[in-house]
Amino acid sequence: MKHWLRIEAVCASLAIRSRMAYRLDFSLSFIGMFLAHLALPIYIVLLYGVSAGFGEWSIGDMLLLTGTIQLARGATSMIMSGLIWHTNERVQQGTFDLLLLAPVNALGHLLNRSIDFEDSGLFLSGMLVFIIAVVISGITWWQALLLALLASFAIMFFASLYILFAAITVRYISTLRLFEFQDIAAQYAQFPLHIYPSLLATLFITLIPLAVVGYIPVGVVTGHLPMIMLGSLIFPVLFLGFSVWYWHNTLTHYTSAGG
Amino acid sequence: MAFSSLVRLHFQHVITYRAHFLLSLLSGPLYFSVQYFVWSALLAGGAVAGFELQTIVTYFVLAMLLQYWHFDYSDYDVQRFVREGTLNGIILRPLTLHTWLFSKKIASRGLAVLLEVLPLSLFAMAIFGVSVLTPHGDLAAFAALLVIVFILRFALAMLIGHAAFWMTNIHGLRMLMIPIFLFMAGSLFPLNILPLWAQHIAFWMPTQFFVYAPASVFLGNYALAGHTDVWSVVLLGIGWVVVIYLLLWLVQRRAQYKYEGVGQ
Repeated sequence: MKHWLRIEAVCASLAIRSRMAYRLDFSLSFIGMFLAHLALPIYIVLLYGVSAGFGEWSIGDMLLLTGTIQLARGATSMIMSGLIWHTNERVQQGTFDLLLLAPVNALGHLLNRSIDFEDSGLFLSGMLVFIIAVVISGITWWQALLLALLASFAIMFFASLYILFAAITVRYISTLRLFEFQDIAAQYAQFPLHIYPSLLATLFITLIPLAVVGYIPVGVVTGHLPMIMLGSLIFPVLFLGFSVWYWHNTLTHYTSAGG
Repeated sequence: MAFSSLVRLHFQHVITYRAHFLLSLLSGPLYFSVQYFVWSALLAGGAVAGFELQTIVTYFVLAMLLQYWHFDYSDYDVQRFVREGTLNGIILRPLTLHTWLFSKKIASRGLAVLLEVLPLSLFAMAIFGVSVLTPHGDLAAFAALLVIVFILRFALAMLIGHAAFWMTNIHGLRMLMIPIFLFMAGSLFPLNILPLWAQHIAFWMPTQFFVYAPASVFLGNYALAGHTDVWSVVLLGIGWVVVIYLLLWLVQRRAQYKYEGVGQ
């Protein structure tokens, strides 16, 4: 683990240096990302301006939900967003076979190569929204810290999606549009669970634990949901376990597809 | 080579990647379903900003279909041609880069109409009961706006793509366009829920033609910063096409002297 973390640190440093080779491009991209991810919080503010909003959930609670999710997504994307891309590229070019022959953990190696600071704009916009939301919603900074810690389960969920999509890429090749489905998952997670039909709501707690990404932690911290709901945090752990299993299962069925 | 042959050539190429288009049949409904649930919850207490549930759901379905209609990646293509030096292969032929990429767009969007727009329209009608095949507003103005947005999006993409003659990488520039598109096109929310000062800015921007103008003309409820005459909006759209093409012409002239044909 220590060895892997050291490699991860070296790769992070390399990723920063290679991105800095095109400083103007990185700056524009960062600004674009930062502003683009402020669109949803602004949309929520606009919605509260023209309607009664989402029941008991105040505008501060909604921004807390958005900020928590963006923070977690940004953190995950910085470490893993290249996973699908690199896997897809390797499978298409046939170099994935070489990786499987090497005496390294294939997923670990791909993760080392997946660091990309492209999404630092998302992380920072999430942080900005989160801080503003903490002030507006009136929760204490200790509660905010607890929420930030609970966001690690959201990171776990988004990491599971990346691993799952990378595995699907190995199975079906050239499915880069899978990135869209991570966006869709985040969109569903950005709103309180009670707006969805009960069947979907149950699905979002258990099989596809979108609610655990933000709704349940924020709901518990702001007092909209009972503490016992935190028990559902087991589902992102199970989801991560499933995606890692699916990845290994995919490798056992891999028959090479370069070209 | 006749333009129609070029379109046919590109069509044969893009149809190879039809699975890419077919994924929209899954992602499209998921995208507009979330808006359906959000607005159902918001509208539980009555109309919001003049929108009934059926109208707002139709708006978001239209927003999605319009984006499939005018989606464009010519900017990325121009960058790739310049960086790889493969532009040589195109300009040595008796055609222009503009003709090559515009024919490609027609082929690609033609397939998008068949594999994305039509199936998703039928899905929206079957599941949400929204009709996106019969306009409630001025049909001629809507048709004119469809043509305008198709050309305008292409011209803008070409203009951004031409930055590749000076910048090595235009990815950042493309990313910078995303927030402008999100805030000022109407893809995330109808522009008339913006404060009045922001509506004035949105009205004069070319981005309103990407989603808001055609969608609300279709619905027969176009209103932005006090403007409600749809034909003056059509004229404004034509004006933007002319302005962007003039800029593109100027940039192309300078770019041809800049290009060295060796890639970067």
